[in-house]
Amino acid sequence: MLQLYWSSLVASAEESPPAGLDPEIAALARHLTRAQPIPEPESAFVARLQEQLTGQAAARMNGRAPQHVRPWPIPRVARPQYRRLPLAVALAAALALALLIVAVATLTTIFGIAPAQKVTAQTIVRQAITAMSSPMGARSLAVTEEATLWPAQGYPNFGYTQSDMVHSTLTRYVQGPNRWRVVTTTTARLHTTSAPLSVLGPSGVSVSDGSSVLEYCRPCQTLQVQRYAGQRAPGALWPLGPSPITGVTMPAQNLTALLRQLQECYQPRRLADATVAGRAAYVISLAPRRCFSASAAEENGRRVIWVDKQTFLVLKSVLYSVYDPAKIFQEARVTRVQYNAAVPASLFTYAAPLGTRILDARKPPAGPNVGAYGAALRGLATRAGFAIFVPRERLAGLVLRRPQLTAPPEIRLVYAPAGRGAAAPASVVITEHPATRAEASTIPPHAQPVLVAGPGTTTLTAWYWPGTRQSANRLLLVREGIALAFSSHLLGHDGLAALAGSLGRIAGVPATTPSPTPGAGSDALAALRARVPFPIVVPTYVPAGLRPLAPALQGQIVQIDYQAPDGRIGLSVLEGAAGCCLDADPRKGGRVVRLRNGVTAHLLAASPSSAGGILWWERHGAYVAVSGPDLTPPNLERIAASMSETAPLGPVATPRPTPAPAATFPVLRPRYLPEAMDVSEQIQAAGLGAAGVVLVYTPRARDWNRSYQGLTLSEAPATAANSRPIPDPGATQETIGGRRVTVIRRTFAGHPPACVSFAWTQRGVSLHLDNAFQPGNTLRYTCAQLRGVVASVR
Amino acid sequence: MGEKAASVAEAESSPSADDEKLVMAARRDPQAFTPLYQRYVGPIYRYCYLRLGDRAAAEDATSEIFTKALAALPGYRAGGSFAAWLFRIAHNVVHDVYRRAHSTATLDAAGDRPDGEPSPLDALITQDHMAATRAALKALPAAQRRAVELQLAGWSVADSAAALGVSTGALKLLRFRALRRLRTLLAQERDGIPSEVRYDVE
Repeated sequence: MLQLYWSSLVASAEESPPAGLDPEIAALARHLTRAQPIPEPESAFVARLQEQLTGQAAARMNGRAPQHVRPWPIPRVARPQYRRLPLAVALAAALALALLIVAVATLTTIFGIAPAQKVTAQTIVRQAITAMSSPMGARSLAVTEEATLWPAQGYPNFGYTQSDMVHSTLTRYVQGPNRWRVVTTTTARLHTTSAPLSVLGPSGVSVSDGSSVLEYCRPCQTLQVQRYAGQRAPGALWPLGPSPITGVTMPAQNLTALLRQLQECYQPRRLADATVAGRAAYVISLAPRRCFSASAAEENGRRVIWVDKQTFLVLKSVLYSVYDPAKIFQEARVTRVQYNAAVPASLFTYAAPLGTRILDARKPPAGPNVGAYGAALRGLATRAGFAIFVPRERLAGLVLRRPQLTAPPEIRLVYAPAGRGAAAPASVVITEHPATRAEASTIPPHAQPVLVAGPGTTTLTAWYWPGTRQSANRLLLVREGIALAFSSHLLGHDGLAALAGSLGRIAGVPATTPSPTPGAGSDALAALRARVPFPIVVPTYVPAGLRPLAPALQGQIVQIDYQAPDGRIGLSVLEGAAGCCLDADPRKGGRVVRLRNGVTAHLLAASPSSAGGILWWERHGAYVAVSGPDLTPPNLERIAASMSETAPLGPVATPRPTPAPAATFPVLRPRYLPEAMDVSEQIQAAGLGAAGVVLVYTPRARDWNRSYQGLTLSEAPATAANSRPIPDPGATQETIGGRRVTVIRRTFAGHPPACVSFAWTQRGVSLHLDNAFQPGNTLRYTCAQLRGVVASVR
Repeated sequence: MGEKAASVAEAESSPSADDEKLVMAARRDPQAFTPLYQRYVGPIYRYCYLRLGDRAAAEDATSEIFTKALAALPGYRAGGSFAAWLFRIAHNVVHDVYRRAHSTATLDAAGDRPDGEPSPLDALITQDHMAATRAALKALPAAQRRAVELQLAGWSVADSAAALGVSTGALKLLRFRALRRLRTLLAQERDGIPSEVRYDVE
């Protein structure tokens, strides 16, 4: 009865079950039949395969078939009559065939025509990755992309509302091999103060004329200029910019890493083909299967990408929320694409708006930017009897007018628009005179302190107060006994602070006061700065009460910790060569944050040891990450924006021992360890006001050339926020020592599956045991060893 | 249902005798393989699609199965079941595809069927259904699971029984037990008791 009913469902899914059949069984059969709709093979495929089989059979029978079996005749196709051709005729025929193949290949390349063939999802993804830097067959491109991000779907704990969104429009003009113009316009509708104003990157323009790359940041009013060299992979056509797949800006050299990750971490599957921006597209579902990221959890959702069938350019990308798979977290879509378009050469030049700060990295300014007035300034300095300071920075569209010495002795530097004549109003005015006690009285109560770079490795405190409709923005700085007053309607806080931090002294006039003497911490810092190949930065602002410990070099990483009055480490600054650390993993891009100093940083989600997350960035070839157990994202951003490559560290604190654990729950400890280890126990924030404990087990047999990290056992009350496991599609359940344990395994290329972490709840305590990664993507301990540890926890 | 059920039942009469004649003919004259191919290409394709989850992979596997079958036809032993013989080839080819792709689950991709793009909500519902169904199917004993899969792939009772090497009565019992077990597993899933995930690929 069941069989008859089930078979009848194949013909009609709406068939009613017979009276005698268990309704639940009938419903299940119906559900299975509906849930697993199996399409019939396409008739074209059936016919093609039949033809292929016929051909194969014929070939087999003609060649290697047993004699007693008659060959499978080939219908309607006469067998060719072979005979030996004269050599000249054969050569001519071969040459003609070769020419034909070359012609077809050339035409295919010129017109970007991809031969029609069945391609697998893996092939499409591989091609799409390649096309991210150089769409197939395209020598020039004009593309408009619309990208929308709903932050509530990716960052549920940041206070975003469901209607918050960030929308970006990207217009790219690319002319191979090395010219481009990318215009980004970002608008945000956000209702939370802790949220970044630009999540997908700031509004701005990126232009390459083939020799220089100009990056204009509209919110920060800066234009960074650098020599064009290696910004893209060799032969790549596509410029740097937010990746349509990852949504973050990604260095070209990471393309290979991303490709490897996509191949290792995702299970690509083809969906029904579609059309995007008038282009036929493959549709690929990318479901993360492995490499589930805890630090960039928002990236763990399912992705669907639409890939141009001819060029393999990603035309559309949708990333679903990992927290609510029905909702979209991020969507990027090409609305217009034109391959091999004629792009006007004028698009590959750029003139920044008036007053824009120009940060030209092609040839760092050696001295003050005095224009034609070097000799005049030296003469004025001699007459005035005090040092004159002139900014090294250039300001777009502004020129320095002839400096003036007025009475009482005061130097006046005026910057005004170029080519507008003497009548043009001043855009920036700097006055300089010997400082007196009266300077303090000119600073209004609402002025705010600003740290700016001073001579050598020092930093100086300046005061800034904004102007009104009638008065200009002001910044006052006393340097080497000289009071410098900056005023401008054009430049704001950041602009004036940067200008004040770029001052150079006119030679020939001795300094009136000596530079501060660096302390012991600065000596150690200076020694490290001389030793490592990247610039070491230190914050010129840290929250009250934090004092630096002596910087330490661990391997290739510099660590500077700041200790709180209670002995805990309140702030950690990790630094290394660019590409050393989180910046080497495209998935660790996190949330993009534009710092007040113009640097683009990345904020990763919170972890027990860093309440506000980890804020990292790359600058001048260096990687820097800041984090702290009590630091909120605004704290981190303020610290990060205050970083100086030249500031001293100041007096260092004597390290105090970490306080003994004082958790509010019974701390559980393993009775078995896979090898001899030392243990340190640290109190960590665990969310919801709860304190957790992290037990770090370090192998006694240390190999400094490899990872010396051992096991990490994190414990928190089961009710604490951080004790909730991040959903992981690769998680499995095991029973170990009578406990229900969630085990996360990963498979890395060339290695058998390995256990990454174990999570379980025991006596009201949520426990996470993490294995240690070693170089080469190997894990230090086997699954069996970790099971032993889990079973021994009491 | 009467007429349709009757036709279904009729279609489930044993095809072995017919198959045997066709196989013998194909061994003598390969052109005679065409009827066998036409008869089984649908069921084999549907089985491959069910196991592999997308058209391209199913087409590749179907091609490989029939190519192998054609090549191995001279070694086919008379008196057996052609359906069972072909199913063993299909099973091995699908297994090889898994091994090559390092896949760890069966029926995994069926949720991404190429029937047009679903709305996110529909997709979620479908995914939830599929995930639960997949997990439950994976938890079935291998014989029950194959019996269900062949049913879903549209194989007749006789062909399925022959493919699995059991009598038609035993096959029906397998399917009934499979449904009963699935009902229990899906009910547990609804109640929040996850079924163990097994990584066997047979």
